[in-house]
Amino acid sequence: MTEMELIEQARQGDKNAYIALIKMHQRTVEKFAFQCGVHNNDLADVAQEVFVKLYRFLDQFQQDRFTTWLYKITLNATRDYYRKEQREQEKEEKLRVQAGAHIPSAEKHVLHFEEDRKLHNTIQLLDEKYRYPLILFYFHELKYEEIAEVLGISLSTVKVRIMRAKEKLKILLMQERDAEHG
Amino acid sequence: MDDKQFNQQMELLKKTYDRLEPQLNPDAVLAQIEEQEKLEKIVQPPSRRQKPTVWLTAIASLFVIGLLTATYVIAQPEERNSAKELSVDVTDQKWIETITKKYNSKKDQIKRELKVSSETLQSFAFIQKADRLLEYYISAAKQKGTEPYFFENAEKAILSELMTPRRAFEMIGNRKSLTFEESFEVYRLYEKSAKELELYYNQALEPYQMQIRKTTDKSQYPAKLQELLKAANKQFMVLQVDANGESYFVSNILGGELSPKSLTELDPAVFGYFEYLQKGYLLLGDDLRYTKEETMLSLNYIQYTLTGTPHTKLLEYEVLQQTFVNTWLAILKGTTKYPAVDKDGTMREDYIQFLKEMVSGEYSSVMQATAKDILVELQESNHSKTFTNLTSTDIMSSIYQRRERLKVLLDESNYVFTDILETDREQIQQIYQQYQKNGETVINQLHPVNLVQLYVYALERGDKTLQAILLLPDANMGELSKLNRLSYFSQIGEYTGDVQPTVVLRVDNEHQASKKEFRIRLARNNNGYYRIEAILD
Repeated sequence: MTEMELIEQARQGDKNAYIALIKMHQRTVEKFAFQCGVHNNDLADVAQEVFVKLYRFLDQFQQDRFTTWLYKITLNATRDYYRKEQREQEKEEKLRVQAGAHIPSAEKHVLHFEEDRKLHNTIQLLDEKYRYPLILFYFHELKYEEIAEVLGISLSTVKVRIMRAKEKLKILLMQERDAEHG
Repeated sequence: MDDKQFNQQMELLKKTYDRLEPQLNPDAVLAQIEEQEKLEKIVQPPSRRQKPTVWLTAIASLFVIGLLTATYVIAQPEERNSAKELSVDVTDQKWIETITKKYNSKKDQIKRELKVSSETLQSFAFIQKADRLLEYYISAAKQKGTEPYFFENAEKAILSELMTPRRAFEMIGNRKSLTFEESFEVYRLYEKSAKELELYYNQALEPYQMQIRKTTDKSQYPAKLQELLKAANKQFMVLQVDANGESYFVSNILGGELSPKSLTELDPAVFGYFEYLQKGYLLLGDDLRYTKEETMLSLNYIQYTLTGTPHTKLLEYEVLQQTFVNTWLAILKGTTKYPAVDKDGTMREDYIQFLKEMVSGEYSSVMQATAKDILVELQESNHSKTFTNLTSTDIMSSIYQRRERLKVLLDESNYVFTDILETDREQIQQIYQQYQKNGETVINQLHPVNLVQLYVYALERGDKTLQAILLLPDANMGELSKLNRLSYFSQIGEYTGDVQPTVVLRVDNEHQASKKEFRIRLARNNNGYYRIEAILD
C-alpha cells in the first residue's frame, strides 16, 4: 500500500493503516528528534507525542506535504520537550563546559565512534537557527524549498543559514581539535 | 578542514544516524489515541453550510490542551473571586461540592440565555464536553489530592468550557487593545460553541420558513419565532436569505450588523481565524466556493493573520496558510468559473484586468509582486513563465518574505538587516505595555534587536527608568540619545555569531547628521541577561 493510501485509510479510522504509517516514518522522526538534541532515553516519548498529534491533524494533510508536516510537528515536539523540561539551558551549559570531554552515556551507547560523538555534540552547540537547516540538509537530504517550508523561513535565508552553519561548525571543530592538541 | 573532509565526516555521521534502532512502540501511540478518544468522544453534526472537519480536530486538540494546562485562560472575574474563596485547608470533597454547584448554576444561566430546554442543552457537544471535563477533574481531585494550584486551574478550565459566543466576548470586559494571545483566547472561547449553536438555530428555524417568506415584519411572527430570533441575535447571528429564498442564520462576527462592539479591542491578527471559522474552505473542488469578491475579502483577513501574528507554530495557523496558498494558486491559475486562459490558449481580458487591479494594490499585497511579474512578462512576450511555473511553494515563499522582510546582505559585514516598519513600532509599543504591566522580567526575555529598539522607544517616551534598566552601568550612548524616535531609523541589523551580540541601527536619509549608523554591543549583566553595553565606533 502506498503512503497516500495508508493516509487515506487512516483518515477513515483504520488503525492498522496508521500503525503501518507510523512504522514507515518513525525512524525519520526519532532520528530528527535525536539530531535536534532530544536525549536518547526520551526519543520514544517525543515520537509518541508526534504521532498522536499527527493523527489529530490527519485530515488536513495534502499528499505532497505529508513529510513537511511530519518534520514541523517533530520540530515543535522537540521544542516543547525542551520547554517542558527546561532542559535546553542546562544542556547547552553542559555541552559548553564539557564539549569533547565528557559524553553522556546514552549518546555513547548510540554513537559508537568517537568522531561521530564529537561531531554530533558540536552540532548541538550551534544556534538552532543554524542547526536545524544543517540537519535537514545533510542528514535528511531535504531540498532548500522543503527546508524553507519546514522552518517557515525564506529560500534565501535557508541558503545563507546552511552556508553559515557549515562555516561555524568547521570553526568549532577546528577549535576543538586545537584544544585537544594543546 | 576542507570541504571534502567536512562532507565526508558528515556523511559518516549520517550513516551512523541511519543505523539508529527505532524505539517507539506504535501500539503505545494507538493506546494513547484511543484513551483520548474515549475521554473526548466529540461528536459534531456536519453543518449544511460548512465542512467542519478542521474544527473538529482543532476542538479535539484544544480539549487536550485544556486538560493539561490553563495558560491561555483569561482570568474571569467570577473565577478570580472563586480562587479567593478557596482557603488553604479546603478539602477535596468541599471543592467538589463547590465546583459542582457553580458549574450547574452557570449551566442553568446558559440554558436561559440560549432559550433552550434542558434536554436540548444537554444534547450540545460543547456541553457534553464540559460535563466530561468536570467529571475528569472531580475524579482527578479524588486521586491527586490537594496539589498546589490544582483547584484554581481545574476550576478555570472547567468553567471556561461552559461558554457561548456572547460570553466569549463578554470576557473582554473593559480591557482595551488586547494582545494577540488575549485576543486568540477570546477566539478560542468563541469557537467552542459558535458553529454548533448556528446549526441548532438553523434547524430550529426550518418550521418557520413559510412565515418568514410571507413577511419581513418581525412583529407578525409567532412568539416562538420571535424568541428564537432574539436568542440567535444575542449570539451575534444574523438572519439572511439565500439564493433560493430560504432564510438562515449566520455568525458573521467581522462584518455582521450584530458584531460585538468589543471586537475592535482584539488584535486584528486573529480576524483570519474568525473568518475561517465562518467561511470554512474557500475552494470547492478546484473552483471558488464563494464569489471572487467574497473570496478576496476572506483572503485579506487571512493574509493579515498570516503576516501579523507572532504565533506561526499554531496548527490553526497552518490551516489558514494552507487555505491561503491553495486559494491563491487556484485564482492565479484560473478556475472554471473564473478562467485565466481561453480555449485557444490566449490570456483572457478579464483576467488581465484582474492582474492590473492586483498590481495597483487593490487586493493582496503579498501576491502583488507575482501579479506584476505575470503582467510584465505577458506584455513583453505574450507568455508568462511565472504563470506557467507558479506552484504553492512560490505562494508560500511570498508569505515568508512578507513576514520576514529580510534583506540578507552577503557582504563582509555578516549582518542580517530588516527594514523597520510601522508594525515593528507597534510591536515595541506592545512590549513596552507588557513591561509596564509586568516589570523587568519582560526585558529579560527580549532578543538583542528588540532591546535596542526598546531603548530608542524609551528615549522617545522620556522613560528614564527604563533607559537605566536597559543599559549596563557606564554605558555611554553618545549621539544616539539625540535620535530619540524609532521613525528616524530605517533598518536594523544584527550579528549574533560572536560571544557578544552586536546590533546595527541605520539612520534614515533625512536624519543622518554625523552618523549613518550606530553599532551597539550588548553584554550580559550580573544576572545573565543581555543589556546594552556600548556604542562601537
